Formats: sequence, structure tokens, C-alpha cells
Amino acid sequence: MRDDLESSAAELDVSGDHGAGVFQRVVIACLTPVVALLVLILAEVGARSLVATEMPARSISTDTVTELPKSADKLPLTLESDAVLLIGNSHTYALPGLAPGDCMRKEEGRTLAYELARRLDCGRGSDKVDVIRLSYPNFNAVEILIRVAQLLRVGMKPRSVVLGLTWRNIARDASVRHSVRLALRDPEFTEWLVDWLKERRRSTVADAIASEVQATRHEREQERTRSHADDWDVALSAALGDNIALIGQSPALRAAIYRELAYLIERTLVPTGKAAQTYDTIEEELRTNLDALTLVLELLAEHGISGVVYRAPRRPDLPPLGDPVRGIVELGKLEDTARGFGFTTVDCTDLVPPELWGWERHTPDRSHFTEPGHVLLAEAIVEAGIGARVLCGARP
Amino acid sequence: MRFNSTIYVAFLALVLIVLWLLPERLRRAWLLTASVLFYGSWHYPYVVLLLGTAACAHFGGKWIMGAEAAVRRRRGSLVLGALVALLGVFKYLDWVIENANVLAGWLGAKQSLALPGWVLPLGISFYVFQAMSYVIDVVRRRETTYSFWDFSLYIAYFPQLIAGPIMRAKELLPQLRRPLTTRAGDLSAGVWLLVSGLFLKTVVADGIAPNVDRAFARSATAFGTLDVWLMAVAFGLQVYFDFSSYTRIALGSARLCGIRLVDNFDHPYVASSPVDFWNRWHVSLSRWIRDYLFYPLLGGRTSRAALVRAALLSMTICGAWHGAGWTFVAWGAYHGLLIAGFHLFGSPRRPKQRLAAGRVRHGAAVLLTFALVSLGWLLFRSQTINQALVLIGRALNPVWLGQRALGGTFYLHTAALVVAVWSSPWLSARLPRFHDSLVNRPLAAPLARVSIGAVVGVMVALCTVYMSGQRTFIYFQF
Repeated sequence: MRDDLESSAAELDVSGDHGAGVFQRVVIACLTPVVALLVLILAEVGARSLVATEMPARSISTDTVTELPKSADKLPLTLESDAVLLIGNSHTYALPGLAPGDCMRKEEGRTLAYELARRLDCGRGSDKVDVIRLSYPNFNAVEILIRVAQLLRVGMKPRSVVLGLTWRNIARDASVRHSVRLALRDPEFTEWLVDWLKERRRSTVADAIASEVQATRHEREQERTRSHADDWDVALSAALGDNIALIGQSPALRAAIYRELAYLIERTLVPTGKAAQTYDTIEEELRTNLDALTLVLELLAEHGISGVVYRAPRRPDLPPLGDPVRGIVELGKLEDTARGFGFTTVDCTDLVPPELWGWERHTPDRSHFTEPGHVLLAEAIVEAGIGARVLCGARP
Repeated sequence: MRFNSTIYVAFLALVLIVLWLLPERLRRAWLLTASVLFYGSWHYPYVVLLLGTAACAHFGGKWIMGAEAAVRRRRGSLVLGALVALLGVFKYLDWVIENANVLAGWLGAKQSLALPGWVLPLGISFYVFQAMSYVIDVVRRRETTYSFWDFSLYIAYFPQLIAGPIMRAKELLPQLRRPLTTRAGDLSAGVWLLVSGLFLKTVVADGIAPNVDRAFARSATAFGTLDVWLMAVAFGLQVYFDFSSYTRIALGSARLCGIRLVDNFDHPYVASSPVDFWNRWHVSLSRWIRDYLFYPLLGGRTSRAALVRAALLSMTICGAWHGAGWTFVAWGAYHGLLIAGFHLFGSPRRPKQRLAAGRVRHGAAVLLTFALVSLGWLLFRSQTINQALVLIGRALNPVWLGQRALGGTFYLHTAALVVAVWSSPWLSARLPRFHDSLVNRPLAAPLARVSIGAVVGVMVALCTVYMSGQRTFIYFQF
């Protein structure tokens, strides 16, 4: 046994002095695994505290506001058709921290959908009109097209639509997330959508949808070849995840790591005055998104639906992300198109004053405003929509 | 089961604990059992295919061994034919039928053949090639016979079963047949290879994969010249980190059992010629192609025409081995052209230059090789030949320089990885020397150990967080 230890220690070459005792060499050799274990424990402790301060899951659904499930394969059994459909990214639901260092806050019935519902009665007095919210973080135009087409195809017909436009999402990202792509697993819907797009001759959007259809096929093939080991892995990870935050909270931790890295890069490499450079316009994505939004409006109009299209508020006390001049031009053209389809448009870009914006930890939040900001936005939308008689649709 | 999964880590731990507790006479049987369980956990009926391949090569080898020279070759051809047929049926039949249907359609046929739609047996390309190498070596009288169970373990040994490295019988079987012991050096090296492999896969390779996948999913006409080069380089890095990380995990898993496998990678992106690239990339496959295809096709001839023919044919087959698709065949043929071109126009015998000019020339050769290899990745990754040709056209035509569709962060991310890859040979050479210099200093050795421990701890923590967003290894599909 001693000979084995000595030969192993010599092999480790932990010390040039082979006259040093075996015990000393073994202790030095054990330093690596002990320190690694300590670092892991620290990481686990850090992960637990980080996740404890993350925004808890939002509570949704009151009598008048319903959120559609994010997963496009989980449509509700019944879809309220006498409702206003609100479509937008996280500015429609997220609440920022109120002071530097604060995290995002839980929504409690005081965001845009609820404020709209409070203000819309369409002549029904105290019996308010329902609002259905369809929203994702950074919801882009191609995703909006897929979801809207899916909802209309399954028979939903809202009385009107409120559609929020955010320039930075339109300017640079047209890829479809997995939960939206699930809608393309319905072969009948997919076939209809592809044919409908062919007739509209918007090749950018047709190409984008075609690649998502291809990705769906690939996902299905991967599921077909799913192994027993994959199932065991899921079960084992779930069991371990209940007790180990590094496993159980890994999605939240990955998001947190990405966010901290992004802030670090932004703070150290990109001076505040040049923040726009981190959101440069990607022409191909922009063209695809603009075409997709036009198709959304066209599809809604084909179903006799109009409503309000608004430019989402932008934080006025920080330089804008992306090219603001280009944004004004392109969104202006889109708004002309929307008016052509019977929609009312309202520019809410400068609606929310600086003091009503918030914080995401130690960084000013450029995308989300506090509850009074949601009130202002709801009032602007209702005023424009009711005045133009588009929000209540043809129904009483 | 995937190497980058919690269940694999648990499986490996269990295998090792039992292995170390068992008496020596039972250890090989345990490894074979574990390997069969490993393969069966994916799709248990295909265990029959795996053991059937082993049986075909083993008993075929015995049948060949007992014959005279001319008969050996005939018997060898039959056994190899059976192995190739196995690979052909399970891997290429769908593709052949698809192409036959297309051809029939062009010729006006109304009906088409149904596709079998079988699930591709995991690792079949690797273990069939491994079995074939044994059979060919038996024909050449370079191999002996072994017991069926030892030979089955050689074919099915779980660290290298799914995606190599493709081991020769004389490299692996002697190790498996002697007492299996894990020394302290094996333990530390094995753990390091495992941890670094998981890190490279879950954090580095899977980090760049979403951008690459999104780009290649889009229409090729969306991209400008620089975009296409970015896609080519980014995918080349993704596949390198993906496959080299798999290899590291395989090497680490085997090392923990006291077995040493061949390393498949030797800093391929600092290669100075296409031939040099293939001496550094997927080494076990490239030497298989060289020893069992290229040299036999060359047949001892040294003419340039013979070299070109052998290079083109063997690399085209190499491409086809990678996948049932025309893009893979085209990629292989492209590399065949590069190697042939190097043999025709390369300069292995030019007079030595002055040192400074030699370094500049070497640097230029590395850059050129990197560019040519990257261009080839467009063929490998594209979904169709048409997409590949459009992309290559855009890469080589400066008229598209003004068009840009990909974001700045994708460019930055890829550039950082290129710097890491090009500096890794320098680091690999200097870090061991630095470590050796530290161990002679009384205080430095413990500090070095603490630093290594901290790095390993951080890597394990990151692997744990990123492992649940797991993606399959690219080479698993081959």
C-alpha cells in the first residue's frame, strides 16, 4: 500500500523534492479536488441566492384579462371571441425595479392589459370587455404572424386587436422561438400558411417560414429517435434539481449569466453615447419583419378585424437603441399600411416621461416602465381607438 | 446516452466504482456488460446489430486466418462485403431509394418506392469501420485472433463506441487484455479530460451553435460576402469544439478505466496544408482512409496522376462516410481536390528560406489552409448543394461585400474563438513547462494546485448549469 502511494505520488510529481514525506505529497495532491469541491459549493450557494432574487412567475388571469399560453401547442379549449386581443413584447407586462439594484417585479393586475380592460366597456357599462394578451419577451413579427394566423385558423375572432410595435425588435431579429414554432406541428395549419404566403408573394417571409418548417421536421425526427437514456436523464435531472440549484434552476442561471455578460460588455466596451451600436439594423431581418407585419395586418383585415397599432414608448433620457431616424421612417410606412387596412395608429414613443421608467438591477431599464406608464399607454390607446371606433369592433 | 448528460456522469461513476471493486478476472466482463447497456439505453434492438458486427468480424477473421494467401483475399472480400452491406443498408438505403425515386420521377415514372424509415443505428459508421480495420489487418497478416468476448469488448467499448476514435485492434485489445488498473496519473488526467471536454461542449460549442443554426436555416441570398465567411468559420469552429470535446470525454472516460485511446485532434486549424490538416483532424479516421483506401488505391505507384486519383477517390468515400447526402460527398471530393492540388502544386521539396521569410510563408500557408478548409465547411453544413453553391458564390464574389445580414455580436464571438484556437498550440506547449517550473518551488506547488482546483470547480459549475440546455454531438449523426 505504501509503495503504491509513493509511486502514485511520484507520478503526480507534486514536488521536485522526492525526499518530502508521502503525507505532505498526498495533502498537496488533494488540494485540487478539495478546492474544486469548495468552489462548487460556493457556486451552489451563489446560485440559490441569485435565483431567490429573480422575478417570480407572473400571476395571470382575472375575470377580464387572460394570457394565452406561451406554448403554441397548448391552445385553450375555448377562445373568448368577444375580446380585445393585445399583442406585444414584454413592455405589455413586465415591471422594472424601482431603484438601482432592484430586480424586475411581479405583475399584479396593473399592467397594460388590465388598464385597457378597466377602460373598455364598449357601451356595456360595468360589464367590461375582456382582454386577451398574446406576448413574449422580444416578440418579433414573424412570430406574431404565426400565432395570429394560428388563432384565426382555429376560429378565434376578437372584436379588435391592439398591436404594439417596438423598433429594436423589428430591426434585427426574425427568428422564431421553439414555443411558437410548435404551431407548425399542425400539418393542416402549416400547409394552409405556406399556401397563403405563396399567394401573397412575400418571399422573405415565405423563406423564413420554410426554414421554421424545416426546423420543426428536424425536431420531430429528434423526438422520434429519442432514447430511453434521454428519459432517464430527464428523470434524474428533475430529481437532482429539487435539491441542487445549479441543476434545477439552470435555465434561470443561464439567463442571469447571459444578462450579466451582456451588461459587462455594454458597460465596459460600449460608452453610453454609443449604445446604438449594439443594436445595429440587420437589413434582411428588417425586411422580413416589415413584410411579416404587413401580412399580419392583411390577415386581420381579411377577417374583418381592425384596431389600434401603436409605437411602443421609448425611454427618453437615454440614447435610443438602433437607428432612430430609420425607425421613424420605416414605422411611418408601416403605419400608412395599417391605416389602409382600417387600423388607427398612435405614436406613443415619447409618451412615458423619464421618471416613470425603472431599473434592471444596476442598469436603467430601457424597455420597461412602471405602473403609471402603463396607465398612460392604456389611456392613449383607448382614446385613439374609441375615438376612431375601432376598439369595440362591430359588436356592442 | 449522450456524453453531455447527467445520466452519463452517473453511469460512468457507477461503472468505475464497480470496476475498481471487482476482482481483476471479472473486470473485462463488467466493461462489456456496461458497454452493451450503454448502447442498449439508446435503442435496445440494435444491440443485436452491434454484437452481430463483432461476430461477423471475429468469426470472419478466424475464417480468413486459416487460409492461404489468395483464398485469404477472397474470404476477406466476402467478410468486408458483409460489413459494408450492413453499413449500406442501415445508413444509406433511405438515401439511395430517395435518389432512385427522384430519378424515376425525371424519367416519367408515376409511382415511387417507400422509404424504410429506419432509425440510423448510433455509431454504426464508427464500429463498422473499426471492425473492417481488423479484418483487413488479418488479411494482411498483421493481426491475430482473440476470444470472442475480448473482441466484442474491443468493438463495443463504450467510451469510443458512438463516435470514435477508431482504434486498431493492436492498439486497444492488448490494453483491454492486461490487468485493468487506474493509477493516480490516470485519475487526474481522466478527470481533467472529462471536465474540459464537457466544458468545451456545453459552454463553447453549444454557445455558438444557435447563431450558426439560425444562419444556415435562412435563404442563402440573405447574406453578403463577409456573412458567408463568418458562417463558414463559425461552423468550422462549432464542429471542431463539438467533436474535439466528444473526443476528450471519450479519452477521459477510457483513461479513468486505465485505457489510453488515440487523440483525434492536434490543433487542426494551424495546419499549413490540406495534407497537414488531415494529419491533425479526426486523426483516427484519416489514418484509416490513408492505410485502407489511399495506399491500396495508389498501389505502390508514385506518379502524380495516381496520387490525384487515389486522393480524389479516397476523400470522396470519406465524405460519403460522414453522411448520406450529396453535400457530404461534395465536401469529401472538395478535400480530395485540395489534397490532389497540394501534391501537384505544393512545395514539399523547395529550398529552405531564411527564417523570417519562412515564418511569413508558414503564416500565409496556415491562413490559406484555414480559408480553404472553412470554405469546405459550407458544403458540409448546407442543407442542399444549391444552398452551398449560392453561399460559396457569395463568399468568393466581392460584389456582395456591401450586404450584411448577421449581427455584430456573432462576428465578435467567432473572432474570440478564432483567437483561442490559434493561440492554443502556443499555450499547450508552454503551460506544461510553466507547471513543471512551479513544482520545484515549495510554495508554488500548492498554489498551483489551488489554482487548478479553482478552475476545475468553475468549469464543473458551468457545465452543470449549461448541461440541461444540451444539444446532441454533431458527429453522433454519422
